[in-house]
Amino acid sequence: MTPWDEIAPLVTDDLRAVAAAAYEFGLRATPTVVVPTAFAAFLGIDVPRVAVPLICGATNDVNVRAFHDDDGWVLSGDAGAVSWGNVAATLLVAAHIEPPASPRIPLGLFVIDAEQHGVIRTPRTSIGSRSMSAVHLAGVRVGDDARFDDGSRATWSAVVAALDKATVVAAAELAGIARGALRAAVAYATGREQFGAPIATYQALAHRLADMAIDTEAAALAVEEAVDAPTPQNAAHTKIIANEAAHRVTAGLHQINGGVGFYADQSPAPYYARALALRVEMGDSAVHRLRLAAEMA
Amino acid sequence: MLFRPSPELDAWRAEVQAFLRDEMHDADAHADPTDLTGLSERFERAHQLRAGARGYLAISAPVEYGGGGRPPSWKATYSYEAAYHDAPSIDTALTLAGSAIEAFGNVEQKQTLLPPMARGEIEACIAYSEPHAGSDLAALSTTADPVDGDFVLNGHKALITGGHKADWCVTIARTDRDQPARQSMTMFVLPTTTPGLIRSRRVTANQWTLSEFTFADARVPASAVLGEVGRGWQQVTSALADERSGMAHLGWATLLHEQLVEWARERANPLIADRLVQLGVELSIARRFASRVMALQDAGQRPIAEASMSKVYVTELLQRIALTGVDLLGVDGLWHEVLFGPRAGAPLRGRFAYEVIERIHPTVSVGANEIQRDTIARFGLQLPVRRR
Repeated sequence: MTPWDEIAPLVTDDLRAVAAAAYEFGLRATPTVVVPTAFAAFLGIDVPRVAVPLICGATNDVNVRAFHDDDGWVLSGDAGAVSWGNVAATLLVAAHIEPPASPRIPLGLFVIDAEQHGVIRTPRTSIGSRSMSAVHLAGVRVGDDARFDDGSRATWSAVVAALDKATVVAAAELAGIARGALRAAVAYATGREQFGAPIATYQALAHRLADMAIDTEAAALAVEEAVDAPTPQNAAHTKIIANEAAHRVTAGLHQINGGVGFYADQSPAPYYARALALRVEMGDSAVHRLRLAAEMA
Repeated sequence: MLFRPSPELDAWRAEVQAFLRDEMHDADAHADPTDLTGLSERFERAHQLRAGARGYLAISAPVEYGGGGRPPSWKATYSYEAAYHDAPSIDTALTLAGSAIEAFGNVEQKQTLLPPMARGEIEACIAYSEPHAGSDLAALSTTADPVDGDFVLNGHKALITGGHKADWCVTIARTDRDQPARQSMTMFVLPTTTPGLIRSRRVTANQWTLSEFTFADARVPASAVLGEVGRGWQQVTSALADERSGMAHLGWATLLHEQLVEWARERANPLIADRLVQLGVELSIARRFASRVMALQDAGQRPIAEASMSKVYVTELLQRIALTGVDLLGVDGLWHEVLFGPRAGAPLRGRFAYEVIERIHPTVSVGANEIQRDTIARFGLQLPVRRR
């Protein structure tokens, strides 16, 4: 059973349902492929075992180039690190179109068979997901039908809209991680006794837990709003809020669990690592702040 | 659970905005830097009469006491807009004292006090804190001894917002010296003209004044008792819980962030933009927390931990915004100007030097944020009560 099989019934093009599924995985800190699969679903692409280079969240930093010759498209360059890249069947890759059809829309999105000639996958050891590969495209040839967009503003807008929705899904998973980590921290602090009392009765810990609750609620409310209205601004706000909340809450879980919490078989490690993996997936906080700054100017 | 305003509320908000813009257009002519609002008592009273006549001050109060009978979100909306427009109708009699009178007052007290408060005819204050009893109100030492059916008050009350201009005062004192503190307190509502009530003003770090009251054999009739004799501590704790919507703070935070964004736009500096974007993200968090409190209140619930989260978040954000303003303006950011009155020419009207001092107190007042974090831990996370 692949990671895609276990989520197959959960991922549709319904943002609310997918976000709820991602949140549930987050609660248990289970690494999933919900985010890339949801991205494909939002685009209306039905292909097996989809993976998306992390860089997809940051379309201003794409290192793959595509040019068209008599036989179709040729793609070259580093697609970046891809979660589950070594077991994926399909890669969704953004590339600079050369020459660009329009300076305003310099990119195209390609659907590539991960097994085909020229796709070089190098397994990497990484934290926060069960597998990862660096993907290099060495003159990968694909037909015209492999390009999702047609170079028009309308089809590229559809890509950006799907990215925004997938960003909200990643944020939902992070919000679940924060909630799960908070629950684990409360349970530990309530049960663990030191100096003759549960450590939760000490105000230094109670206040840290209160701050973790504030972060957790901030992420949950932001996801709630963005699921209702996945605008570019809401997607960016929500990802930034969820990134920072999940990091602080999972770091707090580690701290509250003390030394024993550093063992791999204890609850903090998976939460902390998964929060890190999703923090960069679909755009880290700085990428989204840049988007917001561009809107503000 | 997020709040979604009805079209009716949106329309009313637009009406309130137009009213407040019009009210404040010549506010510089009515400056009084010794008042929290920055404006004269005369202007404030006239403004509150006009707001009261339109039904704004008591928009969410019961119809039977002159209110508009609207959901709590309407009052929260007014508080937000009044703050955003720097209007002197945030700390109204109803906001400060109304909820305690509505919750615990007898029919006569409600009929006497609430309708004129709704009309904006009277000012009121709450005098709970004492020099040695702030967050820990059980430690208060003001006494109200029963004498021939009356009560005689003695003691000192501190940190009273608007005490110098208040017509009425809600206070709390120990009515039984032999009982434990929490079973021996009683709330009172009394005119500030009561003989033996001596008022003084004390200058704050930001130049306006808070009031201190001394009760020296101040005698009030039994009809001044608010609620039950001996239940004052329970009543006051519950009344304070209702004061934490934080909507006024959200109004100020939004106004100040907008001013900084406007200022930064012509500078096109990516580092400045990044800081303001981050504050914008945090402002969205504060807005959602406040929105959730409104939604829960409108649904008839009494949000406790949710209200504490909203209060903690927005008051700490307000400090970050004010400090960012000073940082960005550099040395000019220290150029302090009064909110209203003649201008000396400071950039952004000296607002951020004023703000960076002004926003010290919201993290302390209406329940210090440490108390709020205790509340979140206890009622939001069900943590065991902390050891005292």
